[in-house]
Amino acid sequence: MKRLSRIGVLAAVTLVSSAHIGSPDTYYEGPAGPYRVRVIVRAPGIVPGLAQITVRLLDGARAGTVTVLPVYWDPRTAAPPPPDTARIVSGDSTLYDAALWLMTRGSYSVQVTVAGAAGTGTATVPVQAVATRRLGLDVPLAAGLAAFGAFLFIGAVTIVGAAVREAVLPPGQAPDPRRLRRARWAAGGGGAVLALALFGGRGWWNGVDRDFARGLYHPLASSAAVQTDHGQQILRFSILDSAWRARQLTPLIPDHGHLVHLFVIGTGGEVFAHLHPLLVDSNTFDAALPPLPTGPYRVYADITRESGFAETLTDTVSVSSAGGAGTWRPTDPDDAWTEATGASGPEGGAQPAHRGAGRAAPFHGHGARRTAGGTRAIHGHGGPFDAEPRRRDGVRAPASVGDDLVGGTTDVPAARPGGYDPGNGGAADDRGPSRHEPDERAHHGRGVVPVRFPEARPLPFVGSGQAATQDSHRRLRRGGPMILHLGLSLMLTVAQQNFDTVQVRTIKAGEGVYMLTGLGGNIGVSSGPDGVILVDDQYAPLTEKIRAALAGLNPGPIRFILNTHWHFDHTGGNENFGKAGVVIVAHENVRRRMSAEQFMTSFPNVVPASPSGALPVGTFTDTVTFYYNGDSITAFHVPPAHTDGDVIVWFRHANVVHMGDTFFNGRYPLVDIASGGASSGLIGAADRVLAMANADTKIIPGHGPLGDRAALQAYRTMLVTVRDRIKRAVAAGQTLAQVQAAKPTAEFDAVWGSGRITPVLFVEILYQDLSRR
Amino acid sequence: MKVPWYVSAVLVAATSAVVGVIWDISWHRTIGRDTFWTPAHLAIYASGIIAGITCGWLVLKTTFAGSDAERAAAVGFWGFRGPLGAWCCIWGALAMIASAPFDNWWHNAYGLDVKVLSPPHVILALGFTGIELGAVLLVLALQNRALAAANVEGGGGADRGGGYGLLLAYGFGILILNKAIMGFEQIGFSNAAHNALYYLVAAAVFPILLVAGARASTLRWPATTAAAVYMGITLILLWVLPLFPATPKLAPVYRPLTHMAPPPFPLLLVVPALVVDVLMRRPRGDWSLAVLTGLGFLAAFFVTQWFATPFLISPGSENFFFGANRWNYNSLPGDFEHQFWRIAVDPVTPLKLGLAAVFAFVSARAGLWLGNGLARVQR
Repeated sequence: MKRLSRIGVLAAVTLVSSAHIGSPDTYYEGPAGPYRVRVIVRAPGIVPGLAQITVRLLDGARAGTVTVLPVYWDPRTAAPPPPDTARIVSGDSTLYDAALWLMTRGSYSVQVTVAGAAGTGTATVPVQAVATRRLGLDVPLAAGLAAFGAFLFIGAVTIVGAAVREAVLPPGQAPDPRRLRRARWAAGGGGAVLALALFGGRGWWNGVDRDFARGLYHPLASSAAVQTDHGQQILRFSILDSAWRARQLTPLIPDHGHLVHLFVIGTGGEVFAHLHPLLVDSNTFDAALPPLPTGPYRVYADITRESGFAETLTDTVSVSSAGGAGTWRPTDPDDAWTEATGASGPEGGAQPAHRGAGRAAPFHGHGARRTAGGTRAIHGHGGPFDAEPRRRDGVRAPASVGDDLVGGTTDVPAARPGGYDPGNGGAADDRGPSRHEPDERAHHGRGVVPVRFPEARPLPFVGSGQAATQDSHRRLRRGGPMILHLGLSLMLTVAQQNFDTVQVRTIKAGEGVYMLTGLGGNIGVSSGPDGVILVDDQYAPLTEKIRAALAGLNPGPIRFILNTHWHFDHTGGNENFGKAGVVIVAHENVRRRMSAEQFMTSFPNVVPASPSGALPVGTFTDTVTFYYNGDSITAFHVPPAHTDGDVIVWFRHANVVHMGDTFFNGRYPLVDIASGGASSGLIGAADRVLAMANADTKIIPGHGPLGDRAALQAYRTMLVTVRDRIKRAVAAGQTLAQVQAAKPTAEFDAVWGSGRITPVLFVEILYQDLSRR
Repeated sequence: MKVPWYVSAVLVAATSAVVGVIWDISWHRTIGRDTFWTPAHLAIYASGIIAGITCGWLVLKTTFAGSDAERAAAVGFWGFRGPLGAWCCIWGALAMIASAPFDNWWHNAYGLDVKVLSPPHVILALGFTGIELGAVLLVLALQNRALAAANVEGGGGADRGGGYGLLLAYGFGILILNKAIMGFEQIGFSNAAHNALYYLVAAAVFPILLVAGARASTLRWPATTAAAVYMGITLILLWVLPLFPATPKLAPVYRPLTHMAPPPFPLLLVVPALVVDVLMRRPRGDWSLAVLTGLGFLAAFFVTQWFATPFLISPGSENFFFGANRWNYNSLPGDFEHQFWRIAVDPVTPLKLGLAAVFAFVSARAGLWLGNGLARVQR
């Protein structure tokens, strides 16, 4: 929905200006409980800064109070600040306004709460805090300041002169010529020092301004072009930006499973295509073009950068010869296009004809929810449509086209309850046409998709700590081109995740041993008369849900938690459980990494040190065994695999093994190279467990469904095959692009390629790992 | 000793500025949000208003309705006459006024305050520094005239300065506090006390004030008294501010504060100031005195801060006396609270300490030069 609504704004912008999109202003129209509201957030353009928000009650509703509250995405925040009461705008009883303070770069959602006779309702509106504009010093102010400055300058020089000339003389005594001369020298010297100081101040100011300008948002320079290849028209989208090409910017990360979403919209608005191009190299993306009618088209490329910044790049292309529908070989099964037939719909608009690709639901099935929710969250400039996009006469605004297209789609699976685990890729049973839904589904209960754009994980600001923040940003910006997007993607999804909607499910793995799924790494549980031992604990906001799930298994105490490695989707609950007296045990390297800020090339972001309460209190370097619940539960360290602190937990009598993230079941795994991981270690870990396991052994993966020996064997085969191919290619001196072009994962992609680590990324990880000396 | 009302008013103005700034920093660290009309801002700008109006009136009265004696005890400025200190105060008040629209524009252009040091803030600081210096000069003129009169009349004794010594030490205490506030980001937090920058900044800014104050004063322990004034005002605010309930009003809130955050515990400046006072009593040439007081200051400051700060950053110091709940609402709780910061990046090395010693010497020498001049100010 985010994407479709964004297009509308883009199209709107294109009508008012051909410039790139750059405004983080937000327009929202939808329900706030029993009320319908239109919320407009005008971004301050600077951070920290003051955004202006207006809330209009639609349908003639009346409210008692309207409050607004900016909420920062970070789940570690202690408490929200008190909300601000919006003031009613004089002369309009349905319009309220307020000022919103956005203090930190990144993603906020603004909670607009309306209270009145019909009850209380809240709408959540996404706002991203970015610097977008540079304020000039207008002439009157500049002249006034300059005049004041000159006056102060002359005044200071005069005071210095007077001090030397008269101040040290006894009252009444007149200065002699020598003293007068000295006073003139002193005034001149004082003036020179002051001028020097002013010069330094000017340099300082320019420096601040330069730094500020550098931090401003600039859309990436890009182009789109139509080419013909073997009779198939290809739409090529290229990022031309010099900063991008020089790899000074953070790379793209997949959003909804695709690095780039291309929207091709006829200039009349009646033809619309949604394509997912494939990566040719890190600057170029190709998608087979559907047989669109000839004519000019606008192309909108939706991308999300690792920094969390989602932006839309625009260009115009001309399609000169329409191919036959039969010749279109979609680049991606999600690709789809449609053409309005011209018939009039219930709202006076065109009825679309759907021409999906391999899928019945071409637009990810957003429509079903949109129709139900009737919400709209739009990013971008205000334009002709920002208030009433549907009421334009004549040709529909593209916003409405997209809207109706999906709104008219009826064959979309109904939204299912439950959360979404990005690590699980929506769980193994959740593939198919609706696999991109879950993160929106998670938000559905709120009536809007809170699109959030964290700039980076926030770092503590304390005194000199600020320098660290800036350094981290610099480091971030130096990130490689296409390197491993999974991590941030995962983090982003966490950021976007409404933990409230996550369900923790319990799956029995063996006698007294269970696997819990929720959000983050799968949890292993030993439950019995002695109490509970947990293996990993997901995220802090899920602690209570995990407790609730455990309460259903065992009323006894949780005594120990084993962390399989340091990543926050496995250790996020440590602090909560630790506070409650649970003893947390992990490999020595887990504590070491959690104790200090980590910069993860694989998770391209800075992860601050964990609070001391979250650190494991017991560590080991090789093995540790718990004799508990009648079982012997051994955690053993394996040589660096996913990270350098991996342990595998063996519930010997129950015949269950928890492999942590050394095993991703049904998706390509991650090697966190920055955390000391290595692909050889993944294979070694698999070998070790295969040697222990029999046909009845249940294997809990870090991510993915509960597995067994056969699943692990298949995983090992895939790893070894792909590893060997890339190893040979590296030895032959091939570049990453050459290796990726050879598609060394081709036969595995159908089974393993649907996770957050896409085939392209998996190849890049292994290439990077195996190219290391 | 008769203290004219305008001297009292200007001393109040000088105090109002430093108290206002510490209050404002606490406001930003606790509540976050501000407008122009916060009490802290009002206290700062009240300083300019009080000093500007007082000294403006003083100048007009001296120029147009002053007695011959008053006019004689004044300096000329574009045809007007007034004490040197009054001109400094007026200049400071005008600089403060000029900084306001500049600061407003700055916030609009680059964002709300996240730093103590920015160009408009420096102009504001120069403004209230002018007022503080003006207050010191007004007291000095009174003291030095009293001294001159005592000498002419063949007087002497402990109170030759007419008892203005304490007022003068108070004025210098305010100036020291001003410097400590400006250096909030470099020398404010005890966690920075194992960085070289900490000692470089302290060596540059404090000896000049302590030595100048000691040279110009008639007190027995002038530098120590001024340092005690600095510590005293800081401690009072450290104890008083947390009594006021306040909650963060901006997201993200990582610490749900309930009361105003106190300023960091003050530098233990009385110890090096005591050393300066003792050394200043030895009669010797200014150059060797500058070496002695500079090195003496640095040595005493280094030893005091280096060994006192491990306690000041320890959990044991998190109490009412040393300042509890001292961290910003928007700082993520973490181990940094009890650690020395940036010790890997900016460690204290012999070379850096040597550089600090040079700074301390230059600062002390400048202080002697300034003090000699101040000791002669009579108008």
